[in-house]
Amino acid sequence: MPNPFDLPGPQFLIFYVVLGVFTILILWLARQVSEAADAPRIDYSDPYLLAYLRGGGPEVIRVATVSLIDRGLLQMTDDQLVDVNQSAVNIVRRPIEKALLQHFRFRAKASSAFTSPAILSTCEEYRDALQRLGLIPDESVLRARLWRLCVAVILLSGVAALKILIALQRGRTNIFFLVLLAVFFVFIAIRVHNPLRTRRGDALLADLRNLFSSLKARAAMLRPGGETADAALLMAIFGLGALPAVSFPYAKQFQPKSSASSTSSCGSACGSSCGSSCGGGGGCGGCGGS
Amino acid sequence: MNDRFGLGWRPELAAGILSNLNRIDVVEVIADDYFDAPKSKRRALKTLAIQVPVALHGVSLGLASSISVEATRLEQTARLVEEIQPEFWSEHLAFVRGGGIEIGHLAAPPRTATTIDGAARNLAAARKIIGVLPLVENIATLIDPQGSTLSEADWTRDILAAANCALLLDLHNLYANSVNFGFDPYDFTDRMPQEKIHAIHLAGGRWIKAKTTDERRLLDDHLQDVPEAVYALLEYIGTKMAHPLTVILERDGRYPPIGILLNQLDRARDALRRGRAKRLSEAA
Repeated sequence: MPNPFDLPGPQFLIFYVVLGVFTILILWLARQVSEAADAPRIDYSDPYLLAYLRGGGPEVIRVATVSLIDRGLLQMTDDQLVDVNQSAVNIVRRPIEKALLQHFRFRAKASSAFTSPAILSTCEEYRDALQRLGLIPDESVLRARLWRLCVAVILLSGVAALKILIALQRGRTNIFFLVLLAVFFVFIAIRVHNPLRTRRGDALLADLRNLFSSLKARAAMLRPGGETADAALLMAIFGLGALPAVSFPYAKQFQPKSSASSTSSCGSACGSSCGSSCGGGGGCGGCGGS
Repeated sequence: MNDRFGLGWRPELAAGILSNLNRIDVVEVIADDYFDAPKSKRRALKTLAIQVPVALHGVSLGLASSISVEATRLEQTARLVEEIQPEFWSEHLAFVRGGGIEIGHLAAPPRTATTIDGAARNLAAARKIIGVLPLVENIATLIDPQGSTLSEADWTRDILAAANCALLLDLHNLYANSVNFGFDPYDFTDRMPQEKIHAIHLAGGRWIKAKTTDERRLLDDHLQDVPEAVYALLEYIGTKMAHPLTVILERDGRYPPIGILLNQLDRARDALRRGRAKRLSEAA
């Protein structure tokens, strides 16, 4: 077998592409294998736990806000929200709902909820619960992911650097494509190494989407008012986009930019412009939660 | 006493069931819905079985027939039972096909020695392939099967004895048959071997009228609330039996808010509890 570092430029680039794809695949497979397990038992009576599983803290805030509007406890005017029933904070059960009602006891921009420390801290309770269930990565999983990423990055950048060094020693300077490829594969490795959920969390969410597919199919028949858990669970598992716009017109304003229609923008009620740094939630308003 | 109360799993009720697991001990899943299901759907069912105890309920084996049950269907059931590890599985004492024709519903066979033998043979085949016998369920029928030589109670009891299997007693089926054909449902339950009644089905139905006569029949359509007479039968069951029972409420459409179904489950709890209490006080 020839020494790959002796390969001429084009052949080495092909070798490097194969190495890059293989490395990414191994990185992905290692995560699949090490993080897989049967689904745990979880508390379905709290839809916000599932909302966090799907999209992190920002999704908890979105689902809880829309749920409170649906139940008539928050009122929306333009992009502002206010608690219309000051005693409701004592009635609602969930800490996230209490925190949102406290936050909006005076009229405020809807997007302000995404940066409120009190609200974000209630989201962290869901993160902790999901970590304990192995559905999102805890410290040990994150360490393992980081370790695998380091190995992948060292391999990809090391091979590229060695080849560049050899090429320069041999008086060749056409290293641009190799640098480009190395940067590309390292970028991909970083992107795939640390998703919001573990493999176990992905599997549970997929199973829930399967179990609730009928609910999604008949979403148009859902009635607003919060009489049942149907709307909250639908939002939690499928996102706000699954709610029928006719019955829940305000929900659209809270959808993350990535899932809202093309007419929406970061000028919507969810407001933040932090873009893609929002973990699984994506889009607007997700800077703080995950 | 660890009686358990649950609902028939219907995808339309998924949110209501999963968000009220504190009031639901068990769900009953239609096994046939998963025979040819993609892997993802079967895996979702497995996940459901982790969340709440699951019982599998078959509707297409056609056990009570002189025709042998199809091996393919038994193998499909076996695979599902192996995968899901249900609390139990059950099937109807009905025939569903003949001469290669699928009838499309659960039909009552003639109650004869031949169908008893056929059912026993089919149940033996089921045990051989699946490894465990099903609970067998009495069915409702609008037409008294022609050629019957036995009463429904005798026929059912003889099958339980011949196959040595347990009974899933559908109280609404029993009630509907009793009003349609004029027998005493309490006498029916008395004639069953008490220790073989392991599970109970509750449901509702509606009256339908014959087209050419004034006759009416109670149709077990699973679209209505559980009638009082069925709760009364459940209470009576409680007065007779000491062992734990699994009680499943079946609803196949016109779904009310989940709270209404949960209230019916609570009523069933109360009825069985009352029956149990009566039994204890009579024993004392």
